Amino acid sequence: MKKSIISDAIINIFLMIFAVIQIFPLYWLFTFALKDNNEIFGGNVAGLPQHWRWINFKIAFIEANVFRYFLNSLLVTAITILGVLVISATAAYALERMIWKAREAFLKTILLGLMVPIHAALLPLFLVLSRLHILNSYAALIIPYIAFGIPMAVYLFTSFFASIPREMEEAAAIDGAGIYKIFFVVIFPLIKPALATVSIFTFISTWNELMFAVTFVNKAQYKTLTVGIMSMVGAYTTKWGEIGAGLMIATIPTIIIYLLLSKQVQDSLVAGAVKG
Amino acid sequence: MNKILSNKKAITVFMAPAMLIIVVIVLVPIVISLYYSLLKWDGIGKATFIGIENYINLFGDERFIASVKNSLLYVVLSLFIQLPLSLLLAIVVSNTKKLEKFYVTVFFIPVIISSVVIGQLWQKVYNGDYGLLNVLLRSLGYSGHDWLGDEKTALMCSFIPNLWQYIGYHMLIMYAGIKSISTDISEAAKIDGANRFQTAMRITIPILKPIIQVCVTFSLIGALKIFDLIFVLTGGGPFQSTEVPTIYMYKTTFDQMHYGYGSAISTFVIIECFLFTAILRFIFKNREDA
Amino acid sequence: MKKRILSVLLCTTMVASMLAGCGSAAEAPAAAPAAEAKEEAKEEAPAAETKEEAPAAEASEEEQITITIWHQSVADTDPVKKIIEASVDEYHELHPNITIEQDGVEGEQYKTKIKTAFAAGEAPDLSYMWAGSFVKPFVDAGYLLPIDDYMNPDVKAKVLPGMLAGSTFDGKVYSYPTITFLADLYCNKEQFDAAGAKIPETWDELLDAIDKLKAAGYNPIMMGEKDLWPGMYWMDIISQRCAGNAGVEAAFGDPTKFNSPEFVEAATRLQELVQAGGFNENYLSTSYTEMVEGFCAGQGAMLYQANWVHPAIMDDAAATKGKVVCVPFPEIPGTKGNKSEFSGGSSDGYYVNAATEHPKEVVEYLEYLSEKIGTLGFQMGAGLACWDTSSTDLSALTSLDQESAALMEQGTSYIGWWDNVLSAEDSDTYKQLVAEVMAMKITPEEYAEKMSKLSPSEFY
Repeated sequence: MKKSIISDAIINIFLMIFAVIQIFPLYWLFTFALKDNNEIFGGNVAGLPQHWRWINFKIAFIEANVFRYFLNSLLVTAITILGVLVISATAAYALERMIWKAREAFLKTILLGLMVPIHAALLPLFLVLSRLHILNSYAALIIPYIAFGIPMAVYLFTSFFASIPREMEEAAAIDGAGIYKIFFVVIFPLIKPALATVSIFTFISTWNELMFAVTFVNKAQYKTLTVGIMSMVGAYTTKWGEIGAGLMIATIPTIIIYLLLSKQVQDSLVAGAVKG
Repeated sequence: MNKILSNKKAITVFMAPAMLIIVVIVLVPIVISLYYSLLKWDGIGKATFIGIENYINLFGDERFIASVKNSLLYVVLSLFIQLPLSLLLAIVVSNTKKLEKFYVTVFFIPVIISSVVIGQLWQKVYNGDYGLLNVLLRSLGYSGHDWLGDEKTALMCSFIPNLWQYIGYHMLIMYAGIKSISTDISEAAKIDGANRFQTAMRITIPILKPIIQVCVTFSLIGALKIFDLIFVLTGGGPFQSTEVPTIYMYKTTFDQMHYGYGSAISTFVIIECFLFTAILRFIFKNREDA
Repeated sequence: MKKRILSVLLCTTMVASMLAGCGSAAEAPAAAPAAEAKEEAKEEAPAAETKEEAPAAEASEEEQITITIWHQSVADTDPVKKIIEASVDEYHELHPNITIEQDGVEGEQYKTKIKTAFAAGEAPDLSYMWAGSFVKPFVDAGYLLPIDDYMNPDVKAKVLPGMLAGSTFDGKVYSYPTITFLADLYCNKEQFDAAGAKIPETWDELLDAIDKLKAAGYNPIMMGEKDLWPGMYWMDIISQRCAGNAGVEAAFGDPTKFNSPEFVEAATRLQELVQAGGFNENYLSTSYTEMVEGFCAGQGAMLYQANWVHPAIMDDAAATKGKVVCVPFPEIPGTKGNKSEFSGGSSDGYYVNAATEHPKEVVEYLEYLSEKIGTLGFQMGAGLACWDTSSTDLSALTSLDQESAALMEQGTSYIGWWDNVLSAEDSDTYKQLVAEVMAMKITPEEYAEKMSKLSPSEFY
């Protein structure tokens, strides 16, 4: 018994060290955001700032137009998540549960989206969006984000549906429910945890996306936060501390959303994991 | 029941939005890019159709072959170092009594931080002058090293942040899998006198196989498409020693203005991903049958 | 079954139509914009006639025009950003029927974006272009409009002599210059004094300064070769010293001339600096930003860069503020080059889309903006003058700005950054070779031999 206490202690020490390493980026970003170039490039990497330059945050707010771009990012991300959830959940249900011939082929087609190197898609996608006349709008970002979010979501949803016992649907069918009622009333509420997982993965990739956001939008009114932060990189000189402040501001919502959803994520993976 | 589930109209309604958007936003660009790969084109001026010449050149291009080798090395590292470490962490964390949720939540944090931040951080870790790593080494009496500037160490050093950042990601998926194993099974194993290690090897890992397949697939595709962090850390240098196909593609396309050739590289990456996932499925399927 | 066939058909036709679309765009982009331009010229002609008849004011009230401009001046530290933003309102006040829509994107991303936008036919009326080999392919493809016919002679007269050459292709002018840049050697006087070293005027003095600075514990030269072009600047200027600007220009026209003793010597000299321990040890992993900011934090006594580094050096937070002098790159006795020959002098500018609907109005705005950036930008220390600035108040210039402006006046010959002179592919090769020379991976002879295989530059 004693032996196990000691080994537990050793394990916990190791886990704690690893936990510190994992939190370190947040601490580092926070101190980075409060320094000036002289400190950042002068060798003060991990230490606290000599002068706490809170003004960096103020400047980031004004220069990166944080408030407006923040709202844009929020809007684009929210609609993207909603779109990915609805479109992928229905498709995944049809692919995993329903009975038809070309299921495998369609699933593979969707998964192809996982394999495209994103830079290769830039010009072709620009052409497509230009033909569709949706460049320079929220749709120019939302539609590609949804498209590239679907494959991963479909993959996760199909494995999740596979773990739900068929009895649920059969019972509903006996009660006379049609397919839509079965899906939206019986099945959809069951996959809440999976919805949380897909939400957070979609959130992370959409919130941090830069290349599409830079290329597909030219008007300030549609620009997102990452673009705003990058616009502080100057042709002459760049105040990196202020960029750090911008990045910190952008990271906070990610952490909040993650903490809010993480319990659901963990639960969803537990439930969805069984069948892989 | 089957009748309800084979409702053609419902299948169309459920599939149509996904297929429409995938075809327009993913497939059409792939086809266009395929077409570009048959051109000699600088992306701006006149293009000439040259058939599969770009592909033929690709396989005689030493720089390209070296980049493929680099990415394959990264695949090996992800599969045989990152994933086992994630699995080990998942098993250990799931056995801790207190703080379990805390660990799981905290270990995932690097995944949610943007790669711009992670890249900046690791630059400060590796900096040959005042980097954290060198400061640490010097305080222990060793001399410093220009980690990202030396061809011998740059490749490994540019891989490590990638491997590290996603350990929490795979750990989370595997942890979830472990938690889904009913406690009865592991209790039974304990009564049989198995220690923790034996329980892990005999019970946990075999049951986790489907989960591991998910991780291996994501990890593999992610590894073949690796770009962001290496681009920030080394830009493919010094002397192309850290170049992977996606970075080479970016440089050929946007710096050297060989749009057609760049498109051929990206087609290669797509095919590579497709082939490897097919092989994976085959391996996992065979194992199941055996 | 029918449905599926239908959907497959739909997809195929869609793909086909898109392919056809880009196919024709790809195969005949040169023809398309040119044809469009012609059509416009036709439309323009009668319009001009009516304008002559009707009072000019009425014509301008009739048509509401929006002009779009893309640029890379985004940060608040960039004076040009303020000029462009201010011009939007100012110009609208001057011309109430014209609305300017400006969009800025950070430099590296701008390059990708502008190439993509032109290839897809979605480019703005005016776009920022780097000089030389960056803008050349766009000119060759017919995407840009020659502006000779629209230029106002009064405005043209205000451009300093020779400064239109950079935006002239095949005898046609495509844009106005704005501001220009010159590469100089920046020396941290404080560290030089502490080490008892002299600001170098010759190669031997440079080597001597390196020794003294090293002995005093300073890093002599700050270098960031991760991004490749900072090292290229050194090779550019050393080559220009060894072969003279005329010799370098001859080699651009006939690259076999790169395989000559002058260029072998240049590479040997660069290696000499490396062997003398002139550069920071981690120069291969140091980025451009880390190099400049490192210099500003006091991590190196010398920096060879263009004058766009002034705002960083003179920043309130910089350790270098007020401690840096700028001098021409040292002379190398016994070679063909001399101190009055410089690297730089080319000017980036804004170019008119050949497909623009309002070439006349766009060029008018271009003239307005280029002159504003040329004069105000110079006044604010954004770069050196390409325009007549005799009536400009220059009291706001920093000591560094004034020093580099004085150097520019001494200049007799300028060669642009070599990656603007060589084609995109050759620039890449050249930069890689320079890095290999610095790392002693190839000998100076091998370097010269490889350089002789480049294609002739389109500019010499």
